[in-house]
Amino acid sequence: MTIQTGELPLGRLPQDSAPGTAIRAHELRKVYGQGDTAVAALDGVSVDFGVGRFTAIMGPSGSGKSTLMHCLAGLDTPTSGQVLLGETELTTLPDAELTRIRRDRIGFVFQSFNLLPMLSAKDNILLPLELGNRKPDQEWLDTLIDVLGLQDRLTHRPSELSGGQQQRVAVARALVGRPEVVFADEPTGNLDSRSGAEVLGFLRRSVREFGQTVVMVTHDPLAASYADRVVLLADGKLAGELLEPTPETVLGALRQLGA
Amino acid sequence: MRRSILSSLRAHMGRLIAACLAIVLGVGFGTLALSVHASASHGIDQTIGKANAGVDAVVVSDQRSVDAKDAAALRKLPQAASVVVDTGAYLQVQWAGQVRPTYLGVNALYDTSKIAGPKASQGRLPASTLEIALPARTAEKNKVALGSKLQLSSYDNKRWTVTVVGILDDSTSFGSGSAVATPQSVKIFEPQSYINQIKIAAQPGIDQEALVAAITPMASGLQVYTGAGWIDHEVKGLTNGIDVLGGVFGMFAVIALFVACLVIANTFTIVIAQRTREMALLRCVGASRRQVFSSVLAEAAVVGLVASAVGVVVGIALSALGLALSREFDLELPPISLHLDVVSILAPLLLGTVATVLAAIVPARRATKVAPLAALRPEAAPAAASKRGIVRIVLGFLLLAGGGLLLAASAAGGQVVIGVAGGVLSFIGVLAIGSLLVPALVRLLGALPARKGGVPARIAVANAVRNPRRTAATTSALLIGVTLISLTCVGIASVRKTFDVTMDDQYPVDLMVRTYDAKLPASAEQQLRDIKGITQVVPVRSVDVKAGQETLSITGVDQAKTGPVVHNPQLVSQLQPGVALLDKPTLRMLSLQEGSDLTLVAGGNKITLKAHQAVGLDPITITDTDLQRLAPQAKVSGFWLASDPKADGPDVIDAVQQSLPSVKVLNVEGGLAERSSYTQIFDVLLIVAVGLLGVSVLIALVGVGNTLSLSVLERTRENALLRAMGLTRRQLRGMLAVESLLMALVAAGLGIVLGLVYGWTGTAALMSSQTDGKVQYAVPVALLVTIALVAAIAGLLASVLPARRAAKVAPAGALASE
Repeated sequence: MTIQTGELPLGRLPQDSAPGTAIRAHELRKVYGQGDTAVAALDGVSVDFGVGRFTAIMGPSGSGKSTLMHCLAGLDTPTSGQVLLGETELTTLPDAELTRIRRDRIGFVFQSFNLLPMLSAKDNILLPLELGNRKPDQEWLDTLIDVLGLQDRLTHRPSELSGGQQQRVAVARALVGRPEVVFADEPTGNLDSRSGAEVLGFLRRSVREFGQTVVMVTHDPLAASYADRVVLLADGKLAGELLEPTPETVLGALRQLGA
Repeated sequence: MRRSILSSLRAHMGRLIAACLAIVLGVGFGTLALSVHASASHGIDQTIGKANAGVDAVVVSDQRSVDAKDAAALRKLPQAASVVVDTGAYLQVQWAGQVRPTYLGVNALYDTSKIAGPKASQGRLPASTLEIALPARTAEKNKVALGSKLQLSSYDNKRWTVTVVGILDDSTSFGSGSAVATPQSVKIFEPQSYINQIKIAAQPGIDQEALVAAITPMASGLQVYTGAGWIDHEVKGLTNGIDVLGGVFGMFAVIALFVACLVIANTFTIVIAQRTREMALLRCVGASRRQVFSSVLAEAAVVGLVASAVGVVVGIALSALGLALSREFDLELPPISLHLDVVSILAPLLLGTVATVLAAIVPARRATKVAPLAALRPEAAPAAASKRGIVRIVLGFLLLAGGGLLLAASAAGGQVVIGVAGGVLSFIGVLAIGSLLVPALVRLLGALPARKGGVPARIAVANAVRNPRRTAATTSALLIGVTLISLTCVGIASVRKTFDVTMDDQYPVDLMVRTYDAKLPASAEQQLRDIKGITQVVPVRSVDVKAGQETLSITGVDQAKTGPVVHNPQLVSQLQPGVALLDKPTLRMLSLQEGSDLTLVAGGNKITLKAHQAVGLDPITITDTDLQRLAPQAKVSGFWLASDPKADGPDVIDAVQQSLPSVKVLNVEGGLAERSSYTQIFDVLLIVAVGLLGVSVLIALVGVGNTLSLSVLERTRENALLRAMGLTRRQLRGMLAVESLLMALVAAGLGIVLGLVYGWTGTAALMSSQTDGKVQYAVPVALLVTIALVAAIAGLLASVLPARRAAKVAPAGALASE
């Protein structure tokens, strides 16, 4: 376990992207507002996320971790810099193209308001596939439903599910299309600790057993300890990295950041 | 509290804009109706007053006609300062370019110091005999210039050539006026010239009542009016029409306002529901329920007042525009200028404001009933089926059943009032069960797009039925307009079809052309065939024959050709060799019964036929075959014509009347004139009704757009989630379009079905007693399809703005904001 502060692979050009990189950010800047009121939410962030790895992005409130995730996922456009998803440069793509990429190559798990209330659990799971007119891989779908324990809940509406069940449906939905990257934005924020542990367990299992790449934003050291690697952010800049984190090391690193 | 109201108004103005638009339209329409009505009445008062300036008493025919002796006696009346004897002749005039003459009234010129006569706008007034002045519109219509000559003839065939020396100013008179000539000329044209009326001006110091009192003993059997009374009488004669129109206009304005109320109530319901948390917060920090309630009402009052004021301005502007346009087109009406009275400004303003406040009361009460803390809890789900909802639905079904029974009773018994009551009750029933019915229909209609259109369509259907009350309220507003329009279309089409059938019985032939003694040219048939709008020409022969002691003209027609020209199939099948069709008077004159033998004699020939009664043909009509046996020499004496139902009736009649120039007297009759006059009335009725109801549809569509945009606001997070999951902007817009389309189509479909039911029962109630139950039920397919199409297109349009707003939202921002 090492803590490297400010010693990250800055300055490497995007072309050097290693074969093991699922998504990478290069010199990302995101500025809100103009002139005197301008605030840089991201201030030159460069970071790689490896294939088949579970990475957590952490940092105090306002550190830019959500903005980083939104830019990486094509939900938001950075002011400058690049995002490479595999070989695809995202920052210059028009909205329709970005939408297609989100649909076909990226999965999402959000903190809350995750499911569409008028669709059944199964319809919610299949939503991204159906939006792209793709046929689900039945075997994979069965596996997911089985692993997540959703067999009895498929016909239920979200309002008839517990919070943990809802989040498991969301995880199934994120994984069903075998996306290149799954982004999870505070996936346990609205869950009790047991349900949260379940969801995190599933995410880790998807990385270990199915080789899924997961990027998770969280402020909970316990949640971050499920990851293979923790990337620390402060004031819009990269502030360090932890490998094989435990709750204690994460907490220590955060303290060091002054959070 | 006031500051909180104002700031909340500012904050929510955007959401209220659509409600404002609905108020503006409803109030504007009401103002338009009232101010046009006021202007027209005022204009007529002015015009007739001006035309009768200086007149203190008027004597007109009543039980007997006004005659020259009356005029002479009145001239001697000491109380009279001026006596104008308005005399006239009724002559035939031969306009250039016309084959046969038409009629023209010629009045005697008068002018006294007290009562002014007609004025020439061009040229001068006639000064000697054989001079004439024409009203401007008549001159223009017949392209007569100053100085041209006209051929006049009287009924007893005296002829004069007169010179047009002046054009009369008829810009302030109604209809096509009479020409004027000197009193001497009128006397020459018609020695017993007809006295229209006698106008009298009183000596100074004698009032109108005293004058009338002096005249009355001299005018037994005549009607005497004071000058003011006469103006009233004339105004009433003209404004009855306008009052009816004002009433109709007012009714449609009330409908529009009612629809506007629905839209406003719906908007407030949604806006207030969205603000429930905000209000709960107010309650938590110490505002009383009453304070919150009255703040919402105050907000509604401000919105209602402002929007109504805008509506009044819009309405006045529109009526000014409309009146200006009416001056541009020749409507045979004097120009009417805008006249505003207090009522036409204040009434809509007040009504609009009150309606808005009333519309806000229910949602405001509902919002303030929510316990403060309950409302602050996140995601307070609306109660699915409240007790009141169930009561409402049960009541709705009861109303529907009761109204249906009343409708059936009225259709069977011809009771219009019961029918209207049944219609209103059942419609309220439909509205009451709307929250059950409309979502069910949306699901039914949405089944296809949901299966074929993929997820976006499925979500659209789900969204459309998500809040059944809101969907029902939104479609209700549209449903009212569509139902009324369909009802009007179906009703008018059915009444028209019923009329057509009765007309076919009364006037089986469109046009019957005949001459009495003149010889028809050989090319006559072809000439008639060449007239535009004439589709069939069947020659008929006639000859005088003896039937017992009577000499009668009989008509022979080739029975093989009667099918296309005789619109009554019963007559066509009856007219066979061996049969004579007689009209009722002839049947009675010859003392014949239905089916008895009729023996006809001509020259040395004699045939016996079975007599049958027929309506609308010649006195005696037989087949050509029988006529050949009776009188082989009989000549073609006329033609039976059929016309294209789509052609302009009066034009076709004019053309036929002006045809065959070598024939001096051509008699043209038949059902076409009647048919085209009511066709025209129905067409105008339809256009007016649909146009007026269109306003309420427009308002309802504003409501659809409004509901959608408010729903979009509510669903910001959901839509953002969908966008994040890969829904393209286009798919999102399509989703809203489908939702809007579903609501519009359900309203249109339901409205058309209701319109058919109401239209048919209405026609049955109105017409069954007049037609011995021979009521026809029409389905104006083209019109109804158009209604559905317009509703669909409008529904799509209504979704454009909300969809654009929804598509603009950046997914990340919406997901991030808690």
